[in-house]
Amino acid sequence: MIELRELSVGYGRSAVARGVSMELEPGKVIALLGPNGCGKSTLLRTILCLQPKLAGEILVDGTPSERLTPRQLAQKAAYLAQSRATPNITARRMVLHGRFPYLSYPRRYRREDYEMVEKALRWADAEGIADRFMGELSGGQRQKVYLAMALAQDTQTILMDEPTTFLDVARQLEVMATARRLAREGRAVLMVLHDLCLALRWADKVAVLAEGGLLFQGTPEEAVEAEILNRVFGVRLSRVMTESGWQYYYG
Amino acid sequence: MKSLRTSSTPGNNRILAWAALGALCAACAVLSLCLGPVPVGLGDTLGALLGRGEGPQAHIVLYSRLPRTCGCLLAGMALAVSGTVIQGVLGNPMAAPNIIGVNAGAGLMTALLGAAAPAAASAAPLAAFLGALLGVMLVLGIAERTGASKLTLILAGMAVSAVFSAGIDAVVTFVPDALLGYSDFRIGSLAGLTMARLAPAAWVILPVFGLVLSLAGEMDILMLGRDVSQSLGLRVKPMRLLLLGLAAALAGAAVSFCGLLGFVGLIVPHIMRRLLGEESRGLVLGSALGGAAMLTGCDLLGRLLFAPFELPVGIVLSFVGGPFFIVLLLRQRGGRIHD
Repeated sequence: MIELRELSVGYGRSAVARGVSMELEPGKVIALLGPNGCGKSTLLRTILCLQPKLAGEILVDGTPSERLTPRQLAQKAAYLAQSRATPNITARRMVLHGRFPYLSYPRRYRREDYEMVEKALRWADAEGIADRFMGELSGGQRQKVYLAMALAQDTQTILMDEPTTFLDVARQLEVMATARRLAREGRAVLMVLHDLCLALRWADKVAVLAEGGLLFQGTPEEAVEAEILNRVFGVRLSRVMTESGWQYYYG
Repeated sequence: MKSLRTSSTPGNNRILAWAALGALCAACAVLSLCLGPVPVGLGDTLGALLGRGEGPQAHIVLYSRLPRTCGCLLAGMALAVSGTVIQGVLGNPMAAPNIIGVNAGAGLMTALLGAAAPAAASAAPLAAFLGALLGVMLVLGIAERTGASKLTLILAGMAVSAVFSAGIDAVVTFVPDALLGYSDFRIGSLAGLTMARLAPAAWVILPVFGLVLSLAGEMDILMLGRDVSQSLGLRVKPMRLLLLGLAAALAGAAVSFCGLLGFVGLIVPHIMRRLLGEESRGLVLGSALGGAAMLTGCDLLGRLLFAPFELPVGIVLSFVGGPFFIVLLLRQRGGRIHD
């Protein structure tokens, strides 16, 4: 499990968010919400050691993250980045890259790696496009491939930076359903989301990053009752009970 | 990597492409041994190579054409692979050893060595490597300080190349004998190459090529961009520096015996990316074969076109490669370009 203790993140000396403490519990989908520029992506990147933290601690299974090699960290946490390069290789090859943290020099993929790739492709519902070239795929299909790559990394924690951007509604729901399935398997999923309704409907916990720190964390119900989102986003959030549980809307 | 892609031609013709590449390379090598002002038959050539030939023909094959052909194959391979690595690692389709200061740096050091210690010719590949490394590190340093955009990198490369080239000219002005055949060196030529001059460079090129091939997996990961590669556990910065160092060693070693040949390192990787796709292992191998074939073929053309006069290979290379590259660019206009 990854734990953040009084973590400050930002660029250079100026912190965007200070004193962030939270636990990425296995079995939970946590939605990270907040207005533009509040440091959501920066927080994710800092957790993954892609940029230096300014203060505080990141504990990975109890070990401070700076004591882990990039490879060890890559075996603990996978990252679905927001902007991505798309080399023109087959989707299966791309997913195979997810096994990189488990290989030592000279990199030779083993049988178990290929098996893991097939499993990840099934999970991400990308089997049908496995032999297509990345350049031929639509945005949604590429997203599946990237998701499969992160799954092939076989980590306990998965960090996703706006995984639903550019996807149509059906694909957005699929991504959320996949996140839930991952959580059911005992993984921790932390995802940056912009769609409040999607987040409240599907996440186990929401964390609100705003005004230079973590303002709130709790269940979606608690978030609605505390009216925190109304304050941060300047909207009026309401909900109705439907056959499939609470549905949220704002105006 | 979007900007690297000139078109997507994922095909089932890949096996065919490999076979054609291999055959082309072999054909160029054999023709380069057989043809010239004095044509030698295939049987006699083989005989000479196996040590059974006699007379002037065997002498020509063994002491003139064999070193030259080996030199062409090695230099073509080294420069093309260097270009592939540089383009891949920097994610920049405009980058190539001659553009980012690698060749000029290698040339300058070779000239300096020739001026200061003419007897130490076997140290030329080492000096060239150091010069190439100096060039690439300077360019990289400048580009990173100024924001590391793709354009800055190329501009910094041009500036560094200009300074180094001026350095070469200055050295040759003061010590006219610093470079054997100055004009040949500037244009790039393999005339009069001996095994003794080639050997030290070969000792650099072959192992480094093997090392680059063994790092194909790392190169693939680097193509995913800095963040994704690092999140996959790759130490991006050291790996980039290592690969660029290897690319500098390849280009430097080649420049030490063939002069400032530029074009191979730029266009061969582009052609191979279209032919073979973007997986690094295939791309590196294909570039090696393609570069070797291209340089050997151009050198052969230079020897045959105006025989008994010889055109330095650098001239032929630009005459053949330039239009070929332009055709490639024009065809790309209609091609699909993905994000």
